[in-house]
Parts: sequence; structure tokens; C-alpha cells
Amino acid sequence: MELILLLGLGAFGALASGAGLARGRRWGQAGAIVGALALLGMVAVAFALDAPRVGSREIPEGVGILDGRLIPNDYMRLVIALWALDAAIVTFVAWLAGGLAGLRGLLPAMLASIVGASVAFAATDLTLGASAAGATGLVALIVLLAWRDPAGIPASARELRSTVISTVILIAAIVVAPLAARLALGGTPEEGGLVGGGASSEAAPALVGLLVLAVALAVAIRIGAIPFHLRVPQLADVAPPMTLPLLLAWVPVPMGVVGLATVDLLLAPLALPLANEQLIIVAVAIVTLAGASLAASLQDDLRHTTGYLVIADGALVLLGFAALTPDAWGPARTWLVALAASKTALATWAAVVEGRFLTRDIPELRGWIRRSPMLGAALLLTTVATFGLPGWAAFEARTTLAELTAGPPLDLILVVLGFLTLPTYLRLLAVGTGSPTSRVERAPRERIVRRRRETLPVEVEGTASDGAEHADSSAAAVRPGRLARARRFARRSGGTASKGSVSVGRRITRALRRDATELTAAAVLTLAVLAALTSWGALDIGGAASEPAPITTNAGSD
Amino acid sequence: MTPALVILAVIVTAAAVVATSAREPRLAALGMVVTIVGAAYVTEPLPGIVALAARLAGSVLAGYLVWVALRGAPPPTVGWQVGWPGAAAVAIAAFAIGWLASGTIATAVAQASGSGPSVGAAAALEAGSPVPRAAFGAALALFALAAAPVLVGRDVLRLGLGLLILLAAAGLLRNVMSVGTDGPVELALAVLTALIGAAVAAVVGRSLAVHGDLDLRVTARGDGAVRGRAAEDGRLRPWPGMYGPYGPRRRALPPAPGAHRDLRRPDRPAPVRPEPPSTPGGAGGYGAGWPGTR
Repeated sequence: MELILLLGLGAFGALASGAGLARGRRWGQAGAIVGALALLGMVAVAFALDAPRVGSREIPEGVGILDGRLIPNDYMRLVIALWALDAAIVTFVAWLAGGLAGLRGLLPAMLASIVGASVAFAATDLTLGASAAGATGLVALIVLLAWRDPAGIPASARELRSTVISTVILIAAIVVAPLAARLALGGTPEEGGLVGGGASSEAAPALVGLLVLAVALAVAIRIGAIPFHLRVPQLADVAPPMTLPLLLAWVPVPMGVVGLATVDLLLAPLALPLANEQLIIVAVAIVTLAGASLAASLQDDLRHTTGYLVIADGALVLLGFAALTPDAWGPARTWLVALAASKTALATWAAVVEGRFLTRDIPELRGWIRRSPMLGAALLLTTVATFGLPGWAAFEARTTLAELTAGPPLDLILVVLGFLTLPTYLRLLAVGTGSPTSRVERAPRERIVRRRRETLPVEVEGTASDGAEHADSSAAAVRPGRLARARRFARRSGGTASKGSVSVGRRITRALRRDATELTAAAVLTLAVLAALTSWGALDIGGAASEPAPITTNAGSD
Repeated sequence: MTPALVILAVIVTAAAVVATSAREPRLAALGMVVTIVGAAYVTEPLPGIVALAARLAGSVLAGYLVWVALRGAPPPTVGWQVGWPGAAAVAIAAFAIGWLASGTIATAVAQASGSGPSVGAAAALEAGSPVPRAAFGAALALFALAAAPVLVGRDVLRLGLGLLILLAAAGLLRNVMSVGTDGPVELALAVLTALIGAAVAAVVGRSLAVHGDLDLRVTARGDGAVRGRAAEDGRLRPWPGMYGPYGPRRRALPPAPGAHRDLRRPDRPAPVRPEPPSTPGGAGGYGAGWPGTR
């Protein structure tokens, strides 16, 4: 029942906010409020979700919806709660930065993607999960086509192409996998006839290997692994920066989870010798880790740097496919959620920095920490969350994936390659400690110690309609003539209840906007804290990620 | 029923040929609609009525959305360079390969599972029915036909139609393997088809609205920061916050003072139309001639 509520809330919020924000003005305000409430409601419902530990290979009666095709689980509950929480904070930052216009496209895309991901995580059928993951990828078009921008058309075409191709490859692999399993299990030489089991037993490993490569290819396209990486910086160029946390960090997660489930349930249990296929996937992962880390460190464009950092960390997901063992299921899913949380914090940090200093050129950002110490703390925390500390869930996931993929000394090399992005983070931090450039000097300073602020006359006139007492309290620095005029205006307007209620909202809005600099920094810091908690393994995310997939009704079990 | 389904597989393939080779956008869209609607039914045994209805609704909705996006008679596109004979040749070859390969697969599956009854994956294929063979041939033909527009397509309509055909090919492959005709799964595939159709329609409609044609223009944005910024500053983009802190106006570098002083001569003032004098006499007055004629 809670699952229906979760999906209904998200779908209604996405439709209402999309329609309202597209119309603008009062409809836009109403749409934004409905969407924000839906987002907060999804956080609450996700935390309150009753997630039975179903396990695999059987569906209890009366559990889930759609005849047990959608069953909530702990991993889904935690990931969706974190996703919705991150989305709410990013939405708040986007509203502070760009007003209602900043939410157009972003808010409906956030809600729709959470709905799609909920279905993908809760699906007990692989095809259903792959379809939902593919549909989740389409939310990029909501963002890119929200405005009449010519540059959005090729970007939308690229996103559409990568999403559909990866979905089709995944679905094709899922439907062919039972055939391969049947060949592998039934094709023993003893059973053979004329062509016999010998031929089918020779064909089975090749077919299974191709399927493993196909699943890894689908996920590699989605996360932008090399050589499919060119899409990511182009997307970062075109998309509004505040949408990049969604597009880069969260949207690939459902596809990764369904791909891992495909390998974990259909292909890995066959335990066939697939050393060549493993080698190919590991090679792609190594090239991606090294290449993307190098590109990130060489780039001077902050958005491109963010994109390449996401690609580099996404390459570790490929190790979950290369390991070809059900033991990789838990660490890979843990790494996926840690990756999404940390990259959300990073991409939001980059967007806020770009907005505050009005540049995305890293050399021009010299000295940014001196103007924004809270943003500096957020980036430091994000760096810690990205790599984790020994004993943390993210760190253990990294090392476990490397150990499961290869024996010594290659596992050590993989672990070291995973840390190749550290110099980029250090560079960003080091740039921030230098002497500020003129551009950074001109940026608003974070007021950690709140000073008494001089009230502008226009603010007094705006607030005076709510009652003379407000004018009294805030007009210390205003000339007496203006104060008297404001009092007269307040008496004339009468201050009815409805007007008062409207102006309370406006006063809150105005207060939030006045402190937007500090609030955005605090929001980014909150995202970094969430990322660090996720990386640490709060709420037993590692345990939830390791629980068996509830996907039971694949053809392999028929 | 079986011959009809085999003929339907051939019709699906022929429609895909039309979709990929026709230059007229609406004709191509019609071919795509026939392909995605028909592909759901080339299966044996046929799924339940709910599943069939869901797939039909999803396919028709996807096709309708693309059809609506093409209203207003958009100009003909380049189409596939090989023309319809080339596309047909590709389709026939791929169909034949699929038909023959499915026989080999059926033999391998039958030998792998011994003499027991055919159950599970590819059961219909193993049983020797021609429908899964036709479905496999059509699936390969659709994959082959969709490859070119999807990978190297230079207009948004071809790309979108290719993607929808690709999805139909995956559905056909699913029919071959007899992976089950689960109602919720069919519903999910129908929703996915409709959503991809809506996405294609949105991209096509936006391209027609912005450019007036369907060409896929790749913006000349460099990978580097400086080149990317220069390309962005050339035009204004109505992004959220275009007038706010994220807008390109704010992002653009301010001109360095004195670095490029404007040395152009000011434009000559526009000539003012002379008005007739209202008073007689005096300089420029009535009787002294029109101003500027002395």
C-alpha cells in the first residue's frame, strides 16, 4: 500500500509540477509547491515503507503490488529515501539560485526519475526492471527540452540514443540469458548426440560470455565509460548546472542495479570459465579509471571536471560485472549508492560555485575558499565521502570489488587506480586556498557572523502593509517621513487575514532570498554530510545492498 | 493462425524498410507504426487479451505522438542513402540469416535438453514452429535496418524511428525466446514504448519549432573550457536563470577595460525629413525656400 502511495505521490507531483511550471506565474508557484510537497512526502513514505525480506525464488502471497511483480525491499527503501532527500535539497538550492525558472524541468524530472527508480528497484522481473530503468533515463529530456534552446536538441538526441540503446541491449541480454543457461546446464558431453551436447557445451560459454559483455556494455554506455564518455561533457555543457546531480549521478543507478541483478541471477551462477570476457571488462574499467582521472585533472572547466570525476568513479561499477560472482552483488550496489550520493554533493557544489563566482574556469576560481569557507568544508567532506576511510562501507566496497575481480597484484592496482581522482579534488581545494582573483573578490561573502543589516526603504514599504508593528520594528534606519508614510499605508490597507497570510509567505521568501548565499552553502554542506553518512554506511546501507534480489520471475526459474 | 503470423512478420519487416528508407516523413512514421504495432503479435502462443491490449495501446500511442509531431507537412528528409532497394536487400539478407540461424539454435537447444518435453526458454522454437523462426528473422532484420539511423543518423526523425524499431526488435527477440507473457511485464513494455514515442515526438517537435526542419545539428562546442565558453557566449540561451546568476550573460567574461577600445566612427545621423516652414520670412522661414536647398 505504501508503495502505491509512493508511486502515486511521485507521479502526481511530477505531472502537477511539470504542468504548473510550464505555465508559469501563479500556476508555476502552485506547481512548485505541490512538487516540493510531493518530494518531501516521498521521503517520509520511503522511510516508513514496510519492506519484507523476500529473498529469491519465491513470492509470498499478498506481498507487493501487481501480483507480486513489485515488492519493496530495504535497499529500495533506503536508496529512494536518500534520492528524494537529495532531490529536495537540490531543488531548494535551484530555487534559491534561479527562482521558479530554475525549477522548470528539474522538479518534474526529479520526481519522475524517483518513480522510475522505485519501480526498477522493486521489480521482481528483470524485463520489468530494465524497462523501468530505461524509462528513468528518459527524464533527461524533460530537463533538456524544458526551454526552447537549440543546443538542447542534439543533447536530447544523444541522451535518447544512449538510453534506448542501453535499454534494448539489456532487455535482449535478459531474454537470451535463459537460452544460454539452458545450453550451459543441459549441454554436457555425456548427453550428446550427433552434434551433440559437445557442440552446445562449446557454444554455451561463448554465448554466456557475450551476454556478460552485453550487460556490461549497456551499463558502460549509461555511465559514460570510455569510449562512450564524450556524451557526458557535452551534456554538462548544455544542461543547466543544477540538473547535473540528477543527470550524472542518479539516473544511471537503476540501470546499474538491474544490470547487476541480471549478472547475479542469470549468468554468474553458471560459474563458467569466462576469463577473456572478464579481462575485457577489467581493461575497460582500467582505461576508464585512468583516462577519466587524467582528463579530470587536466580540465580547466569545472563542469567537465565534474563529469569526468563521475565517469571515473562509475568505472568501479564495471568491476561488479567483471567479478562474475554473486558475492559482488552487495559491494557493487553499495558503491552505486555511495557514488550517487557523493557525486550529487560534488555536482551541486560545482553548480553553486559557478553561480557564485560567475565562472566555471578553475584557474579563475583561485581563492574561492576564502570567500566561501562553508563550500570549502563541503568539498572536503565530499572528498572524504568519495574515497571513504578504512572500515567505511564505500571503502570496503572499493577494496572488495577489486579483490573479487582479480587476484594479487592486480587487485592492488585496481584499488590504487580508484584513488587516481584524488589529485583532482586536492587541486580544487588547493586552488581555493590561493590569493583570490578579482572575480572571486567581487563575489558575495558568506556571512558566518551575522551583522546588523540596514533595511532598505523599499523593504519597509513592502512589509508595512502587513501591519504597522513591522514597520516599527524594521525602520530604525529609515527617514521619519518614509516611516510615517508606511504607517499611513498600513492603516489604509487594513491588513485582512488573507493578505496577511500571503505576505507571511512573501516575507519568508524574501528572507530566504536575502540569505541565499549562506543557505546555498549550508545546503551543499548538508548534501556532503549525507554523502559522508552514506559512505560510512549509516542505516546499514551495506546490509541492505547485500540482501538477495527480490527478482524471482525470470525465465531462468521457469 | 501460424501462416498469418509468419506473414505478419514479413509485413513488419517490410514496414521497417519503409520507415528507414522513405524520404517523406509521414510515410516513414507510418512504416514505424506498422512495425511496432505488428511486432508485438508475432509470437506463439499469443499472450492474454490484457497483454495484447496493453502492447497495442502503447504502440499506437507512441506512433500517434510521432505522427502528431509531424503535422504541418515537414520537408522531406534525406532518408537512407541506399534507398529502398538497398534497405530491402539488407532486410531480406538479415531475415534469411535469422530464419536459418533459428533452426540451428532450435537443434542445439533440443540436443541440450535431451528427449524431454520442450519447456522454458525457446520452447516454441524447439518445437519446430515457424512463427519463432519468422520472429527471429524479423528481429535480426529490424536490428540491421535500425543500426544505420541509430548510429550515424543525421536527422532527428530517422534517429527516433530507428530507436523505436530497435525496441520492436527487442520485443520480437523476447517473443522468440518465449520468456513469458506476463501482464505487468507487457504493460511495462507498452509504457516504455509509449514513453520513447513521446520522447521522439518531443525532440522532433522541438526541432521543427526551432529550426523548421529535422536535421540534427551538432553544435560546435569544444571539449576545452575556453572553447566551450566562447561558443556559449555567441548567443543567448533561455535557460532557467538566464537573467540570474547562471545565465550566460553573467557567465561571460566582462570586457577588459581599455583592452579593446571602440575606435569605430559613430554612425552618421539619420537624415531628418524636412518640414515646411510655418512662419514667413527669416532664415529658414516661409518664402526663403526649402531648408537645405540653398
